[in-house]
Parts: sequence; C-alpha cells; structure tokens
Amino acid sequence: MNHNLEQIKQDYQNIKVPDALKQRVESSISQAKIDSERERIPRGFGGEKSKRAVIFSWFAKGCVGVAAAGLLLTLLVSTSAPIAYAMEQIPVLGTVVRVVTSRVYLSKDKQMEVNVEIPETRIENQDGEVMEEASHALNDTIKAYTDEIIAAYEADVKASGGEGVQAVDLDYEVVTDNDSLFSLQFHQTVTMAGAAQSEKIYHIDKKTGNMITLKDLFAKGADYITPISENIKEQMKTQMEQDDSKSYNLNSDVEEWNFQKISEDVDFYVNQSGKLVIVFDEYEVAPGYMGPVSFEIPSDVISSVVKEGYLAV
Amino acid sequence: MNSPKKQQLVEQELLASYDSLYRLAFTYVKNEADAMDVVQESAYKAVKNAGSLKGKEYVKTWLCRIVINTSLELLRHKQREMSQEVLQEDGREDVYCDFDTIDALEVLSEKERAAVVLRYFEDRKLQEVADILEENLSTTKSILYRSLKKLKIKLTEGEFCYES
Repeated sequence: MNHNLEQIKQDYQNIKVPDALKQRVESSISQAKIDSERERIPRGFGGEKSKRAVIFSWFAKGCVGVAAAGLLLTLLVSTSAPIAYAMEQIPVLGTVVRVVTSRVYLSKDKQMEVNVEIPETRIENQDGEVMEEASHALNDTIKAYTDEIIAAYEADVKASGGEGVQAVDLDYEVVTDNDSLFSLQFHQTVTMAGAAQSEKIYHIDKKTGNMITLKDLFAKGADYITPISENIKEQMKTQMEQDDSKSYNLNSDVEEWNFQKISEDVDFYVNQSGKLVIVFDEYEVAPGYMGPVSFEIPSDVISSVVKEGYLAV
Repeated sequence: MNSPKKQQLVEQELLASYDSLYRLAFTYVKNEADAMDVVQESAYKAVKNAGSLKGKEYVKTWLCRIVINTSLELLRHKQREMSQEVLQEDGREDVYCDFDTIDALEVLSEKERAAVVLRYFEDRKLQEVADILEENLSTTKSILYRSLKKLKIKLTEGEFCYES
C-alpha cells in the first residue's frame, strides 16, 4: 500500500506548476494591497477640517508620484484639446464644471506600459468667475489619484527591473451633470496575467462648487448605510436565485469574506433617472469573473433619510 | 502584529508556497486553468483579509484553508452551471490531466483528500493537518486511517481491472 501511496505522491509532485502563476499571484497581492490601502485612508470631503486633512494625505502621496515620474525613460505629455472641448458641459443654473484640458501620461517599455488620462477641471460660479479654491481642491484630488496610479506602476517597473508584463489604463467620463451634481468617473484597468478593474468617482455639488461624498446626499446623522446595504444584499440574493451564473460574496462559508455593509466612501453616482447607483470594484463583493458590479437603489428604500435636491424621490 | 505587518507576512508566505498551494488546489479542481484561478483568488482574499489572521504561526494553515475553501466554492459553482447546461456548448473544454493515481483520490471525501494530501504529499505535521481541518488530533488520525483504507481498496480494484 505504501508503494501506491508513494506513486500518488510522485504524481502529485509532478503536477506542473504553470510559469504564469507567479505573476498572477503577484498581481493579486498588489491589487489586494491597493484595495485595502484605500480602505484605510479615510476619504471624506464633508467638513472643512477633514477636507484639509484628506487632501494633505493625498497630496503627500502625490509627491512620491512626481518624484518617480522624473525617472521615466519615455514621457509624453500632450494636450488633447478636442477631447477636452467635447467634455465641456453647460448646465442651466448654479456653478459650471468644465473639463478644460486633458493630459495623457504615456510610458512604454518592453512589455510594460501605462496610459493615464489626467483631466483638469475648472469650476465657475453663476457669473462665470473661476472658483479657484474649489477648482484646485478637485484638481489636486484628481492629480493625487492619478499620481498614485502612476507611482504604483513605476514601483512595479522598478521591482521587476523593467522585465514585467503589465498594462495600466486609466480613462474617465462625466457620468452625471445635472442641476445639482457633476460626477467624474475614472475607470482603471490593470492587466497583468489577469486584469483587474477599479472605479473611482468624484462629485461636485453644483450649488456650492464643493466636492461631496455619499453622506452629503443624506440628512445629517441619518443612517443611510443600513437601508442601502440591506437592499444590496436583497438584490444580490434575488439575482443569484434567478441566474445561476451570478455569484456574490454573500453566503460564503467564511464569514469574513461576505459582504456586510457598504463603507462610507463607497463609489456611487446618480443615474439619469435620478436614482442612486452604488459601484463596487472587481473582487470587492463578488468573485473576479463578475467584474465590477453596481446596484441601483430604489428610491423608497432611502426616501426617509435622503436630503432634498440630489436624488429623485 | 498590525495589519500591514500581517499583510507582509501573508505576502511572503504566498510567494514562498504558491506552488504547493497550486498543487493542493489541483487535487480538487483537476485542471490548470481552474487551479490557477483558485490560487489567484485565494491570494487576493488572503492579503485583503490579512487582518483576521490570528498569529504568525497560523499563516500556513490559514492559507491552506483559504485554498481549500476557494476550490470547493469553485467546484460548487461549476456544478450549478453544469446542471443548467443541457445543450452542448461550443467551446474549448478545460484540459484535464490524466493522472490515474491522482484520480484515485476521488474516492475520498473533501476532508479526507485534504488530510491525505497535506499529511503524505506535503509532509505536514499531524497537528498542522488537524489545525487546517479544524479537527482534533485523534479525529484527524482516524480520518487518515479511514482514507488509506479507502484508497487501498480503490487501487487494488484498479490493478485487478488492468490485469484481467
């Protein structure tokens, strides 16, 4: 019997481990690190105090990115005026947010490349005057975000001695621009052996020109997290029951992997019918094959806590 | 130990042992593409949830458990998909490895298989195997004993078939 066991062991040890595995494990590790890093940094822009603190911490990171960028082999900065022009939006009332220019940070070396679009915005008040502080706040945040992505890429280039296989893409779109909100969404795709996608959305309150987060859409102190989270869980459950190909981290045997509730800085946007849509990154609440997922929250779920003016009731 | 430190520990262990984690996953899912998916998904979960790791000494057993759970999740998911697919789909089949002997492990339950692989192929200590399975030492011993008995029957049957 031992002889047979030896034989199985032999075959077991002969299972060939694919060469690509190491890279995929590394890409998972770095993606997980990016994601948990994001969760650790608070990103509220609500109060004036937290606003400064946060911008500072983003900015500090941005500096690292700038320093790394100086070491680039190929660097191409271009102004893509037609695109920027096309992105301009002219609403009726309140402040106007324009994407005035769009720079492209492009670097390619062997099998590694990065392509990051960096929009620059201008916020104007009703009289067409530029709101310097608000514009800077938004642009700095965007820059810090893009710098972080570029820095992560540069670190990977350095770590692999330029011999890695990786493509980082970042583009953006204006997902909402109505009387009350302007939202700019970034799509990031990191392709190694597999690809990981993540989203980031920034919002400007068109009445004040300031950046807002999810909690600003709701009455002060109101619990919006619970009704939204419960509704998402219900939607996950219904979707999985109706469609076997769908899967969410809801009933895993391992409790800590399950989706519990949304975080305060979860990504969101307001769709054309004025409904709140919660956006999750790839891997965040579902296995990788599901990609990034989003949930539209029915108005009646949050109608008792919502603040007037942003969402359709 | 704080979270970033735990993360670092998990990362180190992943890079040191991804090949044996791959083999472990392989004994469950039986093909290269799925086993790679399992290891990749497990690596993500492990680093992301490194904070819930109890202590340094558990990192190995913890990773094994994640890989086993992820493998089982994938298998369950596939099973659900299979039962739905009545029509033959066009497409490439996953390439399954034809190791007769590894197929022999099929007679074992999920738990028994993990026990045999870890104890005899990965040469883990009995206590470690018990930790991974979340069983006590004597139960683990009897699981192993039972598994060997099952395997022996299976292997003898196999030999008999070939001879006749």
